[in-house]
Amino acid sequence: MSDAEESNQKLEALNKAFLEKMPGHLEEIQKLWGDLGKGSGEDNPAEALRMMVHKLLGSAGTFGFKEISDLLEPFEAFLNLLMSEERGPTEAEILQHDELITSFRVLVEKAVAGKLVETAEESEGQARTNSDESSDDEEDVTVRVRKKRILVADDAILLRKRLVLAMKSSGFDVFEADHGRAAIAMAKKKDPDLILMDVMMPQMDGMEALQAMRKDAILNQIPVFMMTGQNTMEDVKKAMEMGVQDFISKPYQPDDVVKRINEFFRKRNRVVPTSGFDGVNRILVVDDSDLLRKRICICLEEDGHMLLEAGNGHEALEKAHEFVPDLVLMDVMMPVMNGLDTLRRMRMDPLLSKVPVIMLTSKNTIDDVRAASHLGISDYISKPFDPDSVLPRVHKCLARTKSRKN
Amino acid sequence: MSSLERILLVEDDPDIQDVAKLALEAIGGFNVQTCSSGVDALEEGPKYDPDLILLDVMMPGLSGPETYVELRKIETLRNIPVIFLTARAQQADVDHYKSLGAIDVVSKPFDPMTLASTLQTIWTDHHV
Repeated sequence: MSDAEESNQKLEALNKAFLEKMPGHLEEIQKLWGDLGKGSGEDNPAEALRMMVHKLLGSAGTFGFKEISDLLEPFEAFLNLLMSEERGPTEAEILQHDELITSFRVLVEKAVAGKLVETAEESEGQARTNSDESSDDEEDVTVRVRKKRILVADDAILLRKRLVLAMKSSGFDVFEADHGRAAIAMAKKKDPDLILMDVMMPQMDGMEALQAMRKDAILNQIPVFMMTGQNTMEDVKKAMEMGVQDFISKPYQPDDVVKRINEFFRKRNRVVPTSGFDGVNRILVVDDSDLLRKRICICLEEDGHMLLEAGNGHEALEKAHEFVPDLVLMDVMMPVMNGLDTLRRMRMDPLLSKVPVIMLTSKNTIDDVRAASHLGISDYISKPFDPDSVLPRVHKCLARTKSRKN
Repeated sequence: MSSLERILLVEDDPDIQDVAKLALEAIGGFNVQTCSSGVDALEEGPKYDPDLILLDVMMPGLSGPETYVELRKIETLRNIPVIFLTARAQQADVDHYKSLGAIDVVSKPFDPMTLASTLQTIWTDHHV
Protein backbone atom coordinates (compact mmCIF):
# COMPACT_ATOMS: atom_id res chain seq x y z
CA MET A 1 0.00 0.00 0.00
CA SER A 2 1.35 3.43 -0.88
CA ASP A 3 1.79 6.10 1.75
CA ALA A 4 -0.96 8.13 0.18
CA GLU A 5 -3.39 5.25 0.33
CA GLU A 6 -2.42 4.54 3.87
CA SER A 7 -2.96 8.08 5.04
CA ASN A 8 -6.22 8.19 3.15
CA GLN A 9 -7.36 5.10 4.97
CA LYS A 10 -6.30 6.52 8.30
CA LEU A 11 -8.10 9.72 7.51
CA GLU A 12 -11.23 7.78 6.71
CA ALA A 13 -10.94 5.90 9.99
CA LEU A 14 -10.58 9.18 11.88
CA ASN A 15 -13.53 10.54 9.99
CA LYS A 16 -15.62 7.58 11.02
CA ALA A 17 -14.52 7.83 14.64
CA PHE A 18 -15.45 11.50 14.62
CA LEU A 19 -18.83 10.73 13.16
CA GLU A 20 -19.55 8.21 15.88
CA LYS A 21 -19.10 10.92 18.48
CA MET A 22 -21.48 13.32 16.79
CA PRO A 23 -24.71 12.11 18.39
CA GLY A 24 -23.00 12.52 21.78
CA HIS A 25 -21.93 16.07 20.90
CA LEU A 26 -25.42 16.83 19.76
CA GLU A 27 -26.92 15.55 22.98
CA GLU A 28 -24.55 17.64 25.04
CA ILE A 29 -25.29 20.77 23.03
CA GLN A 30 -29.01 20.15 23.38
CA LYS A 31 -28.66 19.72 27.12
CA LEU A 32 -26.54 22.85 27.59
CA TRP A 33 -28.91 24.85 25.41
CA GLY A 34 -31.83 23.64 27.53
CA ASP A 35 -29.99 24.62 30.71
CA LEU A 36 -29.19 28.01 29.27
CA GLY A 37 -32.85 28.63 28.44
CA LYS A 38 -33.99 27.59 31.90
CA GLY A 39 -31.08 29.29 33.64
CA SER A 40 -30.29 26.01 35.40
CA GLY A 41 -27.63 23.32 35.22
CA GLU A 42 -23.95 24.18 35.15
CA ASP A 43 -22.59 27.36 36.66
CA ASN A 44 -22.10 28.90 33.30
CA PRO A 45 -23.85 26.95 30.58
CA ALA A 46 -23.26 29.75 28.07
CA GLU A 47 -19.50 29.48 28.42
CA ALA A 48 -19.56 25.67 28.25
CA LEU A 49 -21.89 25.76 25.28
CA ARG A 50 -19.84 28.33 23.44
CA MET A 51 -16.69 26.29 23.92
CA MET A 52 -18.46 23.18 22.71
CA VAL A 53 -19.95 24.89 19.65
CA HIS A 54 -16.70 26.65 18.83
CA LYS A 55 -14.77 23.40 18.91
CA LEU A 56 -17.32 21.54 16.91
CA LEU A 57 -17.57 24.14 14.20
CA GLY A 58 -13.81 23.88 13.80
CA SER A 59 -13.68 20.12 13.79
CA ALA A 60 -16.83 19.24 11.84
CA GLY A 61 -15.63 21.09 8.77
CA THR A 62 -12.16 19.60 9.10
CA PHE A 63 -13.73 16.16 9.00
CA GLY A 64 -15.67 17.05 5.88
CA PHE A 65 -19.00 18.09 7.37
CA LYS A 66 -18.97 21.64 6.17
CA GLU A 67 -22.75 22.01 6.43
CA ILE A 68 -22.50 21.44 10.16
CA SER A 69 -19.76 24.04 10.53
CA ASP A 70 -21.77 26.52 8.49
CA LEU A 71 -24.78 25.98 10.68
CA LEU A 72 -22.87 26.35 13.94
CA GLU A 73 -21.12 29.53 12.93
CA PRO A 74 -24.06 31.89 13.51
CA PHE A 75 -24.88 29.94 16.67
CA GLU A 76 -21.45 30.64 18.06
CA ALA A 77 -21.74 34.31 17.14
CA PHE A 78 -25.05 34.41 19.00
CA LEU A 79 -23.52 32.77 22.09
CA ASN A 80 -20.69 35.30 21.99
CA LEU A 81 -23.29 38.05 21.95
CA LEU A 82 -25.08 36.57 24.98
CA MET A 83 -21.82 36.39 26.87
CA SER A 84 -20.71 39.88 26.00
CA GLU A 85 -24.10 41.23 27.05
CA GLU A 86 -24.12 38.97 30.11
CA ARG A 87 -27.67 37.83 29.62
CA GLY A 88 -29.69 34.74 28.82
CA PRO A 89 -31.59 34.20 25.59
CA THR A 90 -34.99 35.85 25.16
CA GLU A 91 -38.02 33.73 24.41
CA ALA A 92 -37.89 34.65 20.73
CA GLU A 93 -34.21 33.77 20.59
CA ILE A 94 -34.88 30.44 22.26
CA LEU A 95 -37.47 29.59 19.63
CA GLN A 96 -35.26 30.72 16.83
CA HIS A 97 -32.28 28.71 17.98
CA ASP A 98 -34.37 25.70 18.89
CA GLU A 99 -34.98 25.50 15.18
CA LEU A 100 -31.30 25.79 14.49
CA ILE A 101 -30.61 22.90 16.85
CA THR A 102 -33.34 20.90 15.15
CA SER A 103 -31.60 21.56 11.84
CA PHE A 104 -28.37 20.49 13.46
CA ARG A 105 -29.97 17.26 14.62
CA VAL A 106 -31.25 16.57 11.12
CA LEU A 107 -27.77 17.13 9.73
CA VAL A 108 -26.19 14.84 12.30
CA GLU A 109 -28.74 12.14 11.55
CA LYS A 110 -28.02 12.49 7.88
CA ALA A 111 -24.28 12.45 8.45
CA VAL A 112 -24.53 9.32 10.57
CA ALA A 113 -26.67 7.68 7.89
CA GLY A 114 -23.93 8.57 5.41
CA LYS A 115 -26.17 10.87 3.46
CA LEU A 116 -24.68 14.24 4.06
CA VAL A 117 -22.03 14.07 1.40
CA GLU A 118 -24.17 12.41 -1.22
CA THR A 119 -27.27 14.46 -1.69
CA ALA A 120 -27.67 12.91 -5.13
CA GLU A 121 -30.01 10.27 -3.73
CA GLU A 122 -32.34 12.86 -2.33
CA SER A 123 -32.47 14.88 -5.49
CA GLU A 124 -33.41 11.76 -7.38
CA GLY A 125 -36.95 11.94 -6.08
CA GLN A 126 -37.22 15.45 -7.31
CA ALA A 127 -35.65 14.62 -10.65
CA ARG A 128 -38.21 11.91 -11.09
CA THR A 129 -41.09 14.31 -10.50
CA ASN A 130 -39.65 16.59 -13.12
CA SER A 131 -39.35 13.85 -15.65
CA ASP A 132 -42.91 12.69 -15.02
CA GLU A 133 -44.19 16.07 -15.88
CA SER A 134 -42.11 16.54 -18.94
CA SER A 135 -42.30 13.02 -20.28
CA ASP A 136 -42.90 14.31 -23.78
CA ASP A 137 -39.89 16.42 -23.46
CA GLU A 138 -37.02 14.33 -24.79
CA GLU A 139 -34.37 17.01 -24.98
CA ASP A 140 -34.30 17.64 -21.30
CA VAL A 141 -32.27 14.71 -20.04
CA THR A 142 -29.68 17.00 -18.53
CA VAL A 143 -32.29 19.02 -16.70
CA ARG A 144 -33.54 15.90 -15.00
CA VAL A 145 -30.13 14.96 -13.76
CA ARG A 146 -28.70 18.36 -13.01
CA LYS A 147 -29.68 19.76 -9.67
CA LYS A 148 -31.35 23.14 -9.74
CA ARG A 149 -28.93 25.82 -8.67
CA ILE A 150 -30.14 28.56 -6.38
CA LEU A 151 -28.36 31.67 -5.27
CA VAL A 152 -29.43 33.25 -1.98
CA ALA A 153 -28.43 36.85 -1.37
CA ASP A 154 -29.17 37.97 2.17
CA ASP A 155 -27.00 39.65 4.76
CA ALA A 156 -28.95 38.13 7.68
CA ILE A 157 -26.70 35.15 8.10
CA LEU A 158 -28.83 33.12 10.49
CA LEU A 159 -31.92 33.38 8.32
CA ARG A 160 -29.87 32.61 5.27
CA LYS A 161 -28.27 29.52 6.73
CA ARG A 162 -31.63 28.10 7.77
CA LEU A 163 -33.01 28.69 4.33
CA VAL A 164 -29.93 27.27 2.65
CA LEU A 165 -30.18 24.19 4.78
CA ALA A 166 -33.82 23.62 3.89
CA MET A 167 -33.04 24.06 0.21
CA LYS A 168 -30.04 21.76 0.30
CA SER A 169 -31.98 19.04 2.00
CA SER A 170 -34.57 19.36 -0.77
CA GLY A 171 -31.88 18.59 -3.29
CA PHE A 172 -30.93 22.03 -4.56
CA ASP A 173 -27.41 23.25 -5.13
CA VAL A 174 -27.15 26.44 -3.15
CA PHE A 175 -24.77 29.38 -3.33
CA GLU A 176 -24.70 32.32 -0.94
CA ALA A 177 -23.95 36.02 -1.08
CA ASP A 178 -23.90 38.71 1.62
CA HIS A 179 -24.88 41.64 -0.54
CA GLY A 180 -25.94 42.65 -4.03
CA ARG A 181 -22.49 43.04 -5.48
CA ALA A 182 -21.43 39.61 -4.27
CA ALA A 183 -24.69 38.21 -5.64
CA ILE A 184 -23.96 39.53 -9.11
CA ALA A 185 -20.42 38.19 -9.08
CA MET A 186 -21.66 34.83 -7.86
CA ALA A 187 -24.47 34.74 -10.43
CA LYS A 188 -21.96 35.27 -13.24
CA LYS A 189 -19.79 32.47 -11.93
CA LYS A 190 -22.42 29.90 -10.99
CA ASP A 191 -25.18 30.47 -13.53
CA PRO A 192 -28.03 29.79 -11.08
CA ASP A 193 -31.53 28.74 -12.13
CA LEU A 194 -33.07 31.07 -9.58
CA ILE A 195 -31.98 33.91 -7.32
CA LEU A 196 -33.55 34.70 -3.95
CA MET A 197 -32.71 38.29 -3.24
CA ASP A 198 -33.21 40.23 -0.04
CA VAL A 199 -34.16 43.87 -0.55
CA MET A 200 -32.31 45.43 2.36
CA MET A 201 -28.62 44.63 2.16
CA PRO A 202 -25.43 46.61 2.78
CA GLN A 203 -23.15 47.75 -0.06
CA MET A 204 -25.64 47.10 -2.84
CA ASP A 205 -29.26 46.45 -1.99
CA GLY A 206 -31.54 44.00 -3.77
CA MET A 207 -33.23 46.56 -6.00
CA GLU A 208 -29.93 47.97 -7.22
CA ALA A 209 -28.63 44.48 -7.86
CA LEU A 210 -31.76 43.64 -9.79
CA GLN A 211 -31.40 46.79 -11.84
CA ALA A 212 -27.80 45.93 -12.66
CA MET A 213 -28.78 42.39 -13.60
CA ARG A 214 -31.46 43.60 -15.98
CA LYS A 215 -28.81 45.43 -17.98
CA ASP A 216 -26.77 42.27 -18.44
CA ALA A 217 -27.81 40.03 -21.33
CA ILE A 218 -27.09 36.79 -19.48
CA LEU A 219 -28.08 37.72 -15.93
CA ASN A 220 -31.28 39.19 -17.29
CA GLN A 221 -32.49 35.66 -18.05
CA ILE A 222 -32.29 34.47 -14.45
CA PRO A 223 -35.59 34.48 -12.56
CA VAL A 224 -35.58 36.33 -9.24
CA PHE A 225 -37.63 36.03 -6.06
CA MET A 226 -37.51 39.12 -3.87
CA MET A 227 -37.44 38.69 -0.10
CA THR A 228 -38.61 41.62 1.91
CA GLY A 229 -39.75 42.56 5.37
CA GLN A 230 -41.84 45.52 4.32
CA ASN A 231 -43.76 44.69 1.19
CA THR A 232 -44.42 48.33 0.37
CA MET A 233 -46.49 48.95 -2.71
CA GLU A 234 -43.68 51.08 -4.04
CA ASP A 235 -41.19 48.22 -3.81
CA VAL A 236 -43.58 45.68 -5.23
CA LYS A 237 -44.39 47.92 -8.16
CA LYS A 238 -40.78 48.72 -8.89
CA ALA A 239 -39.66 45.12 -8.63
CA MET A 240 -42.53 43.92 -10.79
CA GLU A 241 -41.62 46.34 -13.49
CA MET A 242 -38.20 44.79 -13.44
CA GLY A 243 -39.68 41.34 -13.80
CA VAL A 244 -39.50 39.68 -10.41
CA GLN A 245 -41.12 36.24 -10.38
CA ASP A 246 -42.30 36.10 -6.79
CA PHE A 247 -42.24 37.87 -3.47
CA ILE A 248 -41.37 36.22 -0.22
CA SER A 249 -42.36 38.12 2.89
CA LYS A 250 -40.11 38.00 5.89
CA PRO A 251 -40.28 36.36 8.29
CA TYR A 252 -40.80 33.17 6.34
CA GLN A 253 -40.72 29.46 7.07
CA PRO A 254 -37.85 27.88 5.13
CA ASP A 255 -40.08 24.97 4.15
CA ASP A 256 -42.65 27.32 2.65
CA VAL A 257 -39.98 28.98 0.56
CA VAL A 258 -38.83 25.59 -0.69
CA LYS A 259 -42.43 24.80 -1.63
CA ARG A 260 -42.70 28.03 -3.60
CA ILE A 261 -39.44 27.25 -5.39
CA ASN A 262 -40.55 23.74 -6.29
CA GLU A 263 -43.84 25.06 -7.54
CA PHE A 264 -42.09 27.66 -9.63
CA PHE A 265 -39.85 25.08 -11.32
CA ARG A 266 -42.74 22.70 -11.80
CA LYS A 267 -44.82 25.31 -13.55
CA ARG A 268 -41.97 26.34 -15.76
CA ASN A 269 -41.53 22.77 -16.89
CA ARG A 270 -45.17 22.33 -17.61
CA VAL A 271 -46.46 22.92 -21.11
CA VAL A 272 -49.20 25.49 -20.84
CA PRO A 273 -52.39 23.83 -22.08
CA THR A 274 -54.02 25.69 -24.92
CA SER A 275 -57.61 25.60 -26.12
CA GLY A 276 -58.63 22.44 -27.87
CA PHE A 277 -60.21 23.89 -30.95
CA ASP A 278 -60.46 27.09 -32.87
CA GLY A 279 -62.85 29.77 -31.84
CA VAL A 280 -63.54 28.31 -28.42
CA ASN A 281 -61.75 30.00 -25.61
CA ARG A 282 -61.59 29.40 -21.91
CA ILE A 283 -62.73 32.54 -20.18
CA LEU A 284 -62.58 33.13 -16.45
CA VAL A 285 -65.10 35.59 -15.07
CA VAL A 286 -64.30 36.99 -11.63
CA ASP A 287 -66.89 39.08 -9.83
CA ASP A 288 -68.40 38.90 -6.35
CA SER A 289 -71.83 39.81 -7.68
CA ASP A 290 -73.45 36.48 -8.57
CA LEU A 291 -76.03 38.17 -10.72
CA LEU A 292 -73.62 40.14 -12.87
CA ARG A 293 -71.27 37.21 -13.18
CA LYS A 294 -74.04 34.88 -14.34
CA ARG A 295 -75.26 37.35 -16.91
CA ILE A 296 -71.79 37.79 -18.39
CA CYS A 297 -71.27 34.03 -18.41
CA ILE A 298 -74.55 33.31 -20.18
CA CYS A 299 -73.70 35.82 -22.81
CA LEU A 300 -70.23 34.39 -23.43
CA GLU A 301 -71.45 30.81 -23.30
CA GLU A 302 -73.93 31.57 -26.04
CA ASP A 303 -71.00 32.85 -28.05
CA GLY A 304 -69.51 29.34 -27.75
CA HIS A 305 -66.83 29.73 -25.07
CA MET A 306 -66.03 27.62 -22.05
CA LEU A 307 -66.66 29.54 -18.86
CA LEU A 308 -65.03 29.43 -15.45
CA GLU A 309 -66.31 31.49 -12.55
CA ALA A 310 -64.84 32.88 -9.36
CA GLY A 311 -66.28 35.09 -6.63
CA ASN A 312 -63.02 36.66 -5.50
CA GLY A 313 -59.36 36.92 -6.43
CA HIS A 314 -58.25 34.02 -4.34
CA GLU A 315 -60.72 31.69 -6.00
CA ALA A 316 -59.75 33.12 -9.36
CA LEU A 317 -56.09 32.20 -8.87
CA GLU A 318 -57.06 28.68 -7.86
CA LYS A 319 -59.29 28.20 -10.91
CA ALA A 320 -56.73 29.75 -13.22
CA HIS A 321 -54.12 27.31 -12.00
CA GLU A 322 -56.33 24.36 -12.55
CA PHE A 323 -57.20 25.45 -16.00
CA VAL A 324 -55.17 28.24 -17.54
CA PRO A 325 -57.69 30.61 -19.17
CA ASP A 326 -57.31 32.36 -22.52
CA LEU A 327 -58.89 35.48 -21.09
CA VAL A 328 -59.92 36.82 -17.70
CA LEU A 329 -62.71 39.32 -17.02
CA MET A 330 -62.24 40.64 -13.51
CA ASP A 331 -63.96 43.05 -11.17
CA VAL A 332 -61.80 45.36 -9.02
CA MET A 333 -63.73 45.63 -5.77
CA MET A 334 -64.03 42.14 -4.31
CA PRO A 335 -63.76 40.58 -0.86
CA VAL A 336 -60.81 38.37 0.18
CA MET A 337 -58.55 39.50 -2.64
CA ASN A 338 -59.35 42.44 -4.88
CA GLY A 339 -58.90 42.51 -8.62
CA LEU A 340 -55.70 44.51 -8.80
CA ASP A 341 -53.97 42.39 -6.18
CA THR A 342 -55.05 39.31 -8.05
CA LEU A 343 -53.73 40.73 -11.28
CA ARG A 344 -50.45 41.55 -9.61
CA ARG A 345 -50.14 37.96 -8.46
CA MET A 346 -50.97 36.68 -11.89
CA ARG A 347 -48.23 38.78 -13.40
CA MET A 348 -45.71 37.34 -10.99
CA ASP A 349 -46.83 33.82 -11.76
CA PRO A 350 -44.98 32.21 -14.66
CA LEU A 351 -48.09 30.25 -15.60
CA LEU A 352 -50.39 33.26 -15.69
CA SER A 353 -48.12 36.18 -16.45
CA LYS A 354 -49.21 36.44 -20.08
CA VAL A 355 -52.95 35.81 -19.74
CA PRO A 356 -54.87 38.81 -21.11
CA VAL A 357 -57.14 40.51 -18.57
CA ILE A 358 -60.09 42.84 -19.03
CA MET A 359 -60.92 44.75 -15.85
CA LEU A 360 -64.48 45.55 -14.87
CA THR A 361 -64.34 48.97 -13.24
CA SER A 362 -66.68 51.30 -11.44
CA LYS A 363 -66.52 55.03 -10.87
CA ASN A 364 -64.60 54.41 -7.66
CA THR A 365 -61.99 52.16 -9.11
CA ILE A 366 -61.34 53.55 -12.57
CA ASP A 367 -58.42 55.69 -11.43
CA ASP A 368 -56.74 52.75 -9.72
CA VAL A 369 -57.04 50.68 -12.84
CA ARG A 370 -55.62 53.42 -15.01
CA ALA A 371 -52.72 53.78 -12.60
CA ALA A 372 -52.06 50.06 -12.85
CA SER A 373 -51.36 50.06 -16.57
CA HIS A 374 -47.93 48.52 -15.92
CA LEU A 375 -49.73 45.33 -14.95
CA GLY A 376 -50.66 44.72 -18.55
CA ILE A 377 -54.41 45.32 -18.67
CA SER A 378 -55.83 44.56 -22.11
CA ASP A 379 -58.97 46.61 -21.73
CA TYR A 380 -61.43 47.83 -19.15
CA ILE A 381 -65.17 48.01 -19.15
CA SER A 382 -66.92 50.55 -16.93
CA LYS A 383 -69.87 49.48 -14.86
CA PRO A 384 -72.77 49.59 -15.29
CA PHE A 385 -72.73 47.92 -18.67
CA ASP A 386 -75.01 45.83 -20.82
CA PRO A 387 -73.66 42.26 -20.80
CA ASP A 388 -74.10 42.08 -24.55
CA SER A 389 -71.71 44.98 -24.99
CA VAL A 390 -68.98 42.81 -23.46
CA LEU A 391 -68.88 40.51 -26.50
CA PRO A 392 -67.19 42.81 -29.02
CA ARG A 393 -64.53 43.77 -26.44
CA VAL A 394 -63.86 40.11 -25.70
CA HIS A 395 -63.56 39.30 -29.40
CA LYS A 396 -61.19 42.16 -29.98
CA CYS A 397 -59.01 41.14 -27.10
CA LEU A 398 -58.89 37.48 -28.13
CA ALA A 399 -58.09 38.39 -31.73
CA ARG A 400 -55.24 40.59 -30.58
CA THR A 401 -53.79 37.84 -28.41
CA LYS A 402 -54.07 35.35 -31.23
CA SER A 403 -52.31 37.56 -33.78
CA ARG A 404 -49.53 38.13 -31.26
CA LYS A 405 -49.14 34.38 -30.76
CA ASN A 406 -48.91 33.74 -34.49
CA MET B 1 17.27 28.63 6.27
CA SER B 2 16.67 25.68 8.55
CA SER B 3 14.07 23.23 7.31
CA LEU B 4 10.80 22.55 9.06
CA GLU B 5 10.86 19.14 10.69
CA ARG B 6 9.54 19.15 14.22
CA ILE B 7 6.16 20.58 15.09
CA LEU B 8 4.65 20.97 18.55
CA LEU B 9 0.87 20.77 18.27
CA VAL B 10 -1.08 22.23 21.18
CA GLU B 11 -4.79 21.42 20.88
CA ASP B 12 -7.28 20.30 23.49
CA ASP B 13 -9.82 18.81 21.08
CA PRO B 14 -8.80 15.16 20.67
CA ASP B 15 -10.46 14.90 17.25
CA ILE B 16 -8.61 17.85 15.82
CA GLN B 17 -5.44 16.67 17.50
CA ASP B 18 -5.73 13.28 15.79
CA VAL B 19 -6.52 14.59 12.36
CA ALA B 20 -3.90 17.34 12.47
CA LYS B 21 -1.24 14.90 13.66
CA LEU B 22 -2.11 12.52 10.88
CA ALA B 23 -2.17 15.30 8.31
CA LEU B 24 1.25 16.58 9.38
CA GLU B 25 2.93 13.22 9.84
CA ALA B 26 1.49 10.99 7.15
CA ILE B 27 0.90 13.63 4.51
CA GLY B 28 3.55 16.23 5.37
CA GLY B 29 6.23 13.89 6.67
CA PHE B 30 6.87 16.04 9.74
CA ASN B 31 7.64 14.87 13.23
CA VAL B 32 4.79 15.87 15.55
CA GLN B 33 4.49 16.06 19.32
CA THR B 34 1.00 16.69 20.68
CA CYS B 35 -0.05 18.47 23.88
CA SER B 36 -3.63 18.73 25.13
CA SER B 37 -3.29 21.92 27.10
CA GLY B 38 -1.22 25.05 27.53
CA VAL B 39 0.24 23.73 30.76
CA ASP B 40 1.28 20.55 28.94
CA ALA B 41 2.95 22.62 26.25
CA LEU B 42 5.01 24.58 28.78
CA GLU B 43 6.25 21.30 30.20
CA GLU B 44 6.75 19.31 26.99
CA GLY B 45 7.88 22.16 24.77
CA PRO B 46 11.46 22.59 26.04
CA LYS B 47 12.03 18.80 26.05
CA TYR B 48 10.82 18.37 22.49
CA ASP B 49 12.74 21.28 20.97
CA PRO B 50 10.34 22.07 18.09
CA ASP B 51 10.99 24.10 14.91
CA LEU B 52 7.42 25.39 14.96
CA ILE B 53 4.54 25.55 17.42
CA LEU B 54 0.95 25.18 16.24
CA LEU B 55 -1.18 26.59 19.05
CA ASP B 56 -4.95 26.41 19.40
CA VAL B 57 -6.53 29.67 20.57
CA MET B 58 -9.51 28.57 22.60
CA MET B 59 -8.51 26.08 25.26
CA PRO B 60 -9.83 25.67 28.79
CA GLY B 61 -7.43 26.65 31.56
CA LEU B 62 -4.58 28.39 29.84
CA SER B 63 -5.83 29.85 26.55
CA GLY B 64 -3.73 29.95 23.40
CA PRO B 65 -2.67 33.60 23.76
CA GLU B 66 -1.91 33.07 27.49
CA THR B 67 0.15 30.01 26.64
CA TYR B 68 1.95 32.07 24.01
CA VAL B 69 3.01 34.65 26.59
CA GLU B 70 4.30 31.92 28.90
CA LEU B 71 6.15 30.13 26.10
CA ARG B 72 7.97 33.35 25.30
CA LYS B 73 9.39 33.36 28.80
CA ILE B 74 11.14 30.03 28.23
CA GLU B 75 14.69 30.64 27.03
CA THR B 76 14.86 27.74 24.53
CA LEU B 77 11.47 28.49 23.02
CA ARG B 78 11.71 32.27 22.92
CA ASN B 79 12.40 32.44 19.19
CA ILE B 80 10.40 29.47 17.96
CA PRO B 81 7.77 30.64 15.45
CA VAL B 82 4.16 30.16 16.57
CA ILE B 83 1.12 29.72 14.34
CA PHE B 84 -2.28 30.08 15.94
CA LEU B 85 -5.00 27.63 15.08
CA THR B 86 -8.53 28.94 15.50
CA ALA B 87 -12.10 28.56 14.36
CA ARG B 88 -13.79 31.50 12.71
CA ALA B 89 -10.73 33.63 12.06
CA GLN B 90 -11.86 37.07 10.93
CA GLN B 91 -9.26 39.44 9.56
CA ALA B 92 -9.43 41.39 12.83
CA ASP B 93 -8.63 38.21 14.78
CA VAL B 94 -5.75 37.40 12.46
CA ASP B 95 -4.36 40.91 12.90
CA HIS B 96 -4.75 40.65 16.65
CA TYR B 97 -2.91 37.32 16.90
CA LYS B 98 -0.19 38.55 14.61
CA SER B 99 0.23 41.64 16.76
CA LEU B 100 0.91 39.31 19.68
CA GLY B 101 3.80 37.91 17.68
CA ALA B 102 2.38 34.89 15.87
CA ILE B 103 3.79 34.46 12.37
CA ASP B 104 0.39 33.48 11.00
CA VAL B 105 -3.05 32.09 11.75
CA VAL B 106 -4.56 28.90 10.35
CA SER B 107 -8.31 28.72 10.58
CA LYS B 108 -10.49 25.78 11.42
CA PRO B 109 -12.03 23.99 9.69
CA PHE B 110 -8.94 23.20 7.67
CA ASP B 111 -8.42 20.72 4.91
CA PRO B 112 -6.36 17.83 6.32
CA MET B 113 -4.95 17.11 2.87
CA THR B 114 -3.36 20.54 2.56
CA LEU B 115 -2.57 21.49 6.18
CA ALA B 116 1.04 20.35 5.86
CA SER B 117 1.68 22.34 2.70
CA THR B 118 -0.01 25.37 4.26
CA LEU B 119 2.38 25.25 7.19
CA GLN B 120 5.35 24.70 4.88
CA THR B 121 4.40 27.77 2.84
CA ILE B 122 4.02 29.92 5.95
CA TRP B 123 7.35 28.63 7.22
CA THR B 124 9.11 29.41 3.95
CA ASP B 125 7.56 32.88 3.68
CA HIS B 126 8.55 33.62 7.25
CA HIS B 127 12.16 32.83 6.52
CA VAL B 128 12.44 34.82 3.32
